[in-house]
Amino acid sequence: MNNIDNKTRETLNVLRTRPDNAWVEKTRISLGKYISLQVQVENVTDSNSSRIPVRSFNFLFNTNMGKQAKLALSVLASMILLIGGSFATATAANASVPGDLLYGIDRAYEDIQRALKTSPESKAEFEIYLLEERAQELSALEENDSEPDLIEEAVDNITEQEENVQTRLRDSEDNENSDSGELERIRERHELQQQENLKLMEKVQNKYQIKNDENKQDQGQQDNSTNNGSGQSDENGANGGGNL
Amino acid sequence: MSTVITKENFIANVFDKYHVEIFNFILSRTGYRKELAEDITQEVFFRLWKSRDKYNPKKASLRTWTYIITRNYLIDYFRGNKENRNNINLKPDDEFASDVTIESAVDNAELFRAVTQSIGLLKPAERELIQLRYIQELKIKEIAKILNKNGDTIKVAIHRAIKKLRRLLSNE
Repeated sequence: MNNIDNKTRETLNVLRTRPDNAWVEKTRISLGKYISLQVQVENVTDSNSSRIPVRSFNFLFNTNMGKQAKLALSVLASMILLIGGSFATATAANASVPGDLLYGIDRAYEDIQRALKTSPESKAEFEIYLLEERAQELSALEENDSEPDLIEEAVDNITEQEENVQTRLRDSEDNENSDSGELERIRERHELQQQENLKLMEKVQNKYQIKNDENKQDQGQQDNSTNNGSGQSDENGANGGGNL
Repeated sequence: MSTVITKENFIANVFDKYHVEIFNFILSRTGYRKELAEDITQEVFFRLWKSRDKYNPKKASLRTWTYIITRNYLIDYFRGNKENRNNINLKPDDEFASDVTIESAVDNAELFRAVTQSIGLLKPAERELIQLRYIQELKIKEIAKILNKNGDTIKVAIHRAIKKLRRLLSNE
């Protein structure tokens, strides 16, 4: 650093800053949780390991968390243990939809990521990203002609997520430190997604309404054929036995 | 605490060692917006974890690799946020140092404004060089690896950048 004078160097020292201790601690804990979860998932797919060492889960419990959080994590850990070695990877978890075994893990990862967002804009944008995820899940279920109860769950998830987005956007708008340019960009992204979601919902509604109508029609035809059979005998009976 | 580096504590170790300087680096590139810098710093460490298998200690030190990942993340980030590219405008209400005492806050605020204004007048490449060399205190060799340039080219560029900055600071 020979070509810099002391005055300039001292001046530049003003630019050295440290993040808040609270943020450092929160990030360290969340990174640890995320990595521990991924390592357990990777261990399950390792064909050389016959069992997951129980001590590997200790990190999940050595943090300062409430009883409910510990219970939630132990349930998650049990789910990981129960999953066979065929498809339990973080990538697979991210591509999962309601009804899949890994869907719970996917949502757990999202909760961890959500907890790490700090600025109002990044919180809002993350919720919009999750809205896009929920829409993709519904789209995948629709393409696979999934059961109506899974479709309903996916639609409920979108509705719930849309509320989360609205809450975060309101928080951003109320926050005087928000970047208006950034907020504008995020709002545009949300509006585009809302339009896509509307088309998707209409498509799903039409498809499952048609299915519902077809089912009713089939049911109606079955009912009719049953009624016609018994009616004929009755007529014969009423006519005094007919050809018997 | 275990001294053996495992998959689990690898990133924890990297985070403990480098989070302050990475945060500083990102802060300078995001207009000194603290919350945004915190978010991006977190994302960088997640990306470091995901890229851990690609790290080759023979090609670069852990510190250099961390900076490369950070820089690449910032490039991707700005690519997706064109309006914010190279935005160094300081927002008046942003906190800048959590350990600044109340007595020195007024002086530091004025000096901070002067420095960020001058640095803002530099070209992005010049700004980055000054940040890496004099704030992050990286060696020329490390900077050359991060920026994928020749060491002598970096030396000359830094010399020119600091000369320009000194001139700008004296005009303030």
